[in-house]
Amino acid sequence: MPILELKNVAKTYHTRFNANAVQALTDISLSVEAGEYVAIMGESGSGKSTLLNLIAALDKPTAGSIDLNGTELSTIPESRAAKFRREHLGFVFQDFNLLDTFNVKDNILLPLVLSKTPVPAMEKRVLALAPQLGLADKLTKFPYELSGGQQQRVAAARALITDPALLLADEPTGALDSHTADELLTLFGKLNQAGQTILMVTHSAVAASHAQRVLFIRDGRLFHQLYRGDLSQDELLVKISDTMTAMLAKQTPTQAGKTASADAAHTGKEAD
Amino acid sequence: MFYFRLAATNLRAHKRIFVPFLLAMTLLAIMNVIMLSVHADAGAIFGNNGVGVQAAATEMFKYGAIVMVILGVILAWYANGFLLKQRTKQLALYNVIGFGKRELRLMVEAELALCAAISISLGVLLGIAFSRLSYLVLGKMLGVPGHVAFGLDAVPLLQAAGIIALIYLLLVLLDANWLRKHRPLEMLRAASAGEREPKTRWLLLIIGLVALSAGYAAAIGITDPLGALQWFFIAVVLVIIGTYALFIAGSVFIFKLLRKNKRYYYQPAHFINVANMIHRMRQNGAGLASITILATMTLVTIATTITLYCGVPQIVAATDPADLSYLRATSAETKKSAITPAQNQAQVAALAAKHHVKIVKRTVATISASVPLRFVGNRVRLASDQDYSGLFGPKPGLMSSDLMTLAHYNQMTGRHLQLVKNEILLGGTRPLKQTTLQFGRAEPLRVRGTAKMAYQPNAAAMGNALLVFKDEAAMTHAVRAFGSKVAHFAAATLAAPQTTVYLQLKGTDQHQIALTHAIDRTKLGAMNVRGAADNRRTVLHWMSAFLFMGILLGIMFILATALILYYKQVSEGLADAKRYRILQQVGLSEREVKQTINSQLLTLFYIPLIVAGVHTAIAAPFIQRVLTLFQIFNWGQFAGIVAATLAVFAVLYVIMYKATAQVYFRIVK
Ligand SMILES: Nc1ncnc2c1ncn2[C@@H]1O[C@H](COP(=O)(O)OP(=O)(O)OP(=O)(O)O)[C@@H](O)[C@H]1O
Ligand SMILES: [Mg+2]
Repeated sequence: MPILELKNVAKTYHTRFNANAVQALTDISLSVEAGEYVAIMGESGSGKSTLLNLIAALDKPTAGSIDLNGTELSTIPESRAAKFRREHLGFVFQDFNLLDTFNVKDNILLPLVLSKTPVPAMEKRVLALAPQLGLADKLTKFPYELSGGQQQRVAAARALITDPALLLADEPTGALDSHTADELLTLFGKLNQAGQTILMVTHSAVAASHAQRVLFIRDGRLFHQLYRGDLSQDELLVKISDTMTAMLAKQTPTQAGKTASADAAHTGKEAD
Repeated sequence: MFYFRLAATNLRAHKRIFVPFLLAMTLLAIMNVIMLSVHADAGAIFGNNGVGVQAAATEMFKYGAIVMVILGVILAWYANGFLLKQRTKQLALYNVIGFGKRELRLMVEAELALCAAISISLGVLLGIAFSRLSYLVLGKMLGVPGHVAFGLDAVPLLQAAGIIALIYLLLVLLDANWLRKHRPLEMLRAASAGEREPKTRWLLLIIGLVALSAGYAAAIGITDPLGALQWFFIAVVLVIIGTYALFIAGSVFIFKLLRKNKRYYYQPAHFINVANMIHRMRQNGAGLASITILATMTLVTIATTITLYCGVPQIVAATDPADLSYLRATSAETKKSAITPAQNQAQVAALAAKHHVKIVKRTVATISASVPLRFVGNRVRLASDQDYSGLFGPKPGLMSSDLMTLAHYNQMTGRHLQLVKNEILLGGTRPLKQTTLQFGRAEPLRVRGTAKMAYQPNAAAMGNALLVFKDEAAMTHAVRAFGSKVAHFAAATLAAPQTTVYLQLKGTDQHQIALTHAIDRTKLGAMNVRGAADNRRTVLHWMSAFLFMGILLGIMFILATALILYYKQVSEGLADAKRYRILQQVGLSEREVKQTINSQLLTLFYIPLIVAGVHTAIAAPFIQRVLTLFQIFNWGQFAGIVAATLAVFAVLYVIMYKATAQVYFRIVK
């Protein structure tokens, strides 16, 4: 049973000052199994953030259905969407989005406080989680006292503290240098090995190569997907780069298939 | 020249932030023009009153002007800070395109110079207009004496212009210092990186506590109304300092304490707000303190002037218990006068008839002495200075008392009462229920009955009492029993009684005034002629002027309050917009976000109102004591007016808050 299932999802933006509608997503269907680590790649403006926002119930699709952890998102009333998001999802952003008025510990505790968790239980969880993310000695610091990588780890801790069914990340390494980015990706890998389902949007082929599966979006449509299978990270990286090149060259997936690898099917599952 | 052109462009390009700033500075100029005009013309406005009142009024407006300048500096400082903060980005941009610190400084100075020119000229012009307008309205509606030319004097205009110019000079220095200390580019980076947690400023906290308690103590403890005016303004300055220090340092301290309490802090409603407050108070403490001070000034000014206006009958009654009274100096009282009491009466009656005034009642009272006495139970003693300085003015039981012999009393009332030794008659404008009276250490006197006052008091001012003794000897005995030097001096004058004629009149005020002047002019053995109508007109004039000024200033205060509220909402909306977006992403529903914002705004904006209420309540008894200088002793009335003013202001404040909160919500969304 997949943890996340999208069926024929579409999203059209109507801007207030412009009569033209922007078709940000068109007919997207995909499913994510529990314990999977999926990366989403695509050009700027291709609709990746839109997709993530829909999954996070921050926005509503124009058509199609999204099923998360057994709940159809459109059936959740507006007033309970925030609570649902808090309980089932963790979100990591490119620019960390920490609150500068809170210290590290309070930033991490934020979702738990909003869920009215008793103080002792909160303390226990933060003390258990912080060492895993290398934040044990940073709990009383304020965001401005931390490096970018540390801030992003705090954001990750905030996303993980509620034990979410799905961790969403929108370009989590976008604001980090390659070394810190690598550290964060290693961390994500470890979390995934421990059973955490992750859905990550990224521009970086290196980042995507940490995942088990890579989805490619072009102009709001699912363009292609790659499975890691038995490939090593470097081999996957090569395939990702090839697909990206093909996609940027605006080739069709079948043409891309020639340059990429023959075993990458359009949307079908790869035969292991 | 280049910089001025650049500055002009900047002003036009950043209308949204410069227009409120210019508005604030112009408002300040107007307020100063008006305040200084009144100070300069206080002598004329209060010209129909005693020298003491004139001096007191001039003094009061002098301190008012000082408080206004202090307020002006703080307000300008605040508005300027807002300006700088909103423009960091723009300054950084100029920095990028090659403006050095010197060039930036010159540009900012040119901007301030332009603003100064605009706000000073506009402020002086509008200041004249406002002063003139108030004068015109006053002249038309309330009939202020024509020779009061306030608003046209060049001196207060120059003074106000000078003060505003000096304030701008201060802003130039502040800006230069700011530019010296900061690099706009770095500021920009720092702003996006978040700000550091404010430390508890212990020194400021202690200064605030000390200043506020000292100010409160002075306002409550200094009960001598005459010497206290000076002290009151010291108290005002102390309270202002205390308010600012406590809003800035005390609030951080309290919210940090709250954060330490985990059970309280880790609740959704408190969590976000407490943390936010710790950070916001550093920037907002000064703004909130300004709002508090402005609100307090509004309340105090309006309540006081309304009380003075409503107190006109009391003020008049204190000096003129009857419609018309004069000291009779006829052949019956002095050997020198050629006019007999009968001639005097006939001539006054003739004059009254000529002036279309009917004499309803005529009372002739011969008083041996008039002394301030304090009645405590059965004991009577000579009032001391301390008796005048109770919490709400003179202490209870303090009565201005007339002493009269039985012979004169019988003459006045036309009766034939008898008193035996150790018996007296006692009467008063307030009920006196004593059955015996003991003067000093003398043996107690028995109160035989109620003495009828010579006149019907028009309003309850400070109490008046009438004591009727068997004869002069009994009276002398009683007064001497007080035992002091003053008492002996008073006893010595008992042998020279004075006769006052009290007339109750019927006729228009104008006719009564004419009659008063006619009696004063004609030589018919009348001295110290006083007409209540005449006095009432004068008192009403300057109380109206006072009320008018009070309301005008109140409007200014309220406008300034609205301006600060607006500024705060704009700057805070901008600062909070990102914060609330994050909260929404983390899992706060829009409704919860709105609730959080609301509860935060509520605390932020109702704290000043509450503190202003407390300040006013503390100041109220003191102001009442000062009001006794104007012969207003009814502190219940004053308390009622303060409460009503507070209620009206609270409603206005809520409206202003709601209106400006819209701005905030629009930005946050
Ligand atoms: N709130 C919005 N209103 C109108 N149009 C929008 C809105 N958000 C996104 N779009 C449009 O939808 C399209 C997809 O945007 P989206 O943010 O999903 O792209 P993206 O893949 O995340 O790009 P990037 O890699 O640059 O973050 C773009 O054309 C964008 O202009
Ligand atoms: Mg995006």
